[in-house]
Amino acid sequence: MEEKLILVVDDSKTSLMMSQMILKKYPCRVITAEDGAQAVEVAASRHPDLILMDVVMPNMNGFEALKAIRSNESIRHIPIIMVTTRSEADNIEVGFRNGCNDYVIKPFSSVELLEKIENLIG
Amino acid sequence: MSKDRVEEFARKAGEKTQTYIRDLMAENERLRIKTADLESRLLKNLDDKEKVPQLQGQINNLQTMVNLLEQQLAEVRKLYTGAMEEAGRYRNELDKLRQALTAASEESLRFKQQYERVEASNGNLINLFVTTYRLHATLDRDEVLASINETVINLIGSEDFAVFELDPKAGDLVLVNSFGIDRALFQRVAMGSGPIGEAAREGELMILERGRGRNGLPAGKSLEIFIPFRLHGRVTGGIAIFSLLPQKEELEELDRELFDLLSSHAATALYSTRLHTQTAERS
Repeated sequence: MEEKLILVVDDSKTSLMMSQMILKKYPCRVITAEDGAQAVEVAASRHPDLILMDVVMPNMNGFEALKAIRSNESIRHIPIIMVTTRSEADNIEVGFRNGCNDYVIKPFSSVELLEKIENLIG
Repeated sequence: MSKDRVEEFARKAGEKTQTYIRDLMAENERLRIKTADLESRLLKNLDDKEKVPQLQGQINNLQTMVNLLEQQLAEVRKLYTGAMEEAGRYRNELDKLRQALTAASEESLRFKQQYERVEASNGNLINLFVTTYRLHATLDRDEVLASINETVINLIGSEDFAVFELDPKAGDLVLVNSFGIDRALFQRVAMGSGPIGEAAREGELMILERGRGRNGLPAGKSLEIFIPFRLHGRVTGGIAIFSLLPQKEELEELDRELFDLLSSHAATALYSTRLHTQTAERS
């Protein structure tokens, strides 16, 4: 299987490390960003195959970053999975309205995350 | 061929055969009647000697047809019996295949469950590893406190908690970190006083049912989980969790392992940062 490039965006080092460890089971390289603004920048320069985006972050939150990516012609096609600790329908609806492809709710299992990634870029 | 299709085929074959047999028997009967009629007419017309050979010929022809039809009937009966036997064999074969399919499905389900167990176990180990690593990978106190917060938020699943450390001189619990609460209301808690102070004095992991926590806290909060920080058998602080996230329906084995891990490792990590700070200050 072709090795994919996945951008993981989270301000929590614990979450970043968790995601990186889970993704070791998947044939991919992982790059990271610690807030939404950095995520948009990295996405534009590295063109990852998929973005795993936390919602609550400093500088630019996940939804704002999602909007910015979807409005950039060169990277708008990149599948984005939103990662949130909040399960309220409002948040999920906002995510889908802004163009996210899927979402996971923390705390999530490795099986769940890998399944969603596989569905989008497998 | 499916069982339903085999049965449908057999049913239709049976019906057609029965119809055919009925038709043949009706034809047979009709011919018998006709033969009897001719014989009767023959007797009546004995005097009409010219017609006798002609009628006798007709009778012979009809008798031949009757014999032929009876032969056909016997053959159709034989075919019908054969078809029914064949259908029975198909049915047995189908039953065997269905049993094999069920066994294969059960086996597949067992493998899937086993895979999920292994994956869940791997996931748990990752959680425990990351928590331990994050606690001990630094001597920076803020980093350790941040990792405790992140573990509670992201791995346990709460956005409503407070982290306390014991002030050994005053004997009080001092708020050192929190999430989702009014910090001013929980700045200092006397050991043994109120739900948090009592839980800390007891020094044991306390887990109460959701919505049935210990009341009597500021802002109407109730204490549902208390994870004591323990070092050399002494309580050095703890994490008071007031509620779990709505999607966290129940605590799992991993959560209890994380509680145990935090109980000992968070205490050690915080202690290490304090020693490090003291050493740095001295030098």
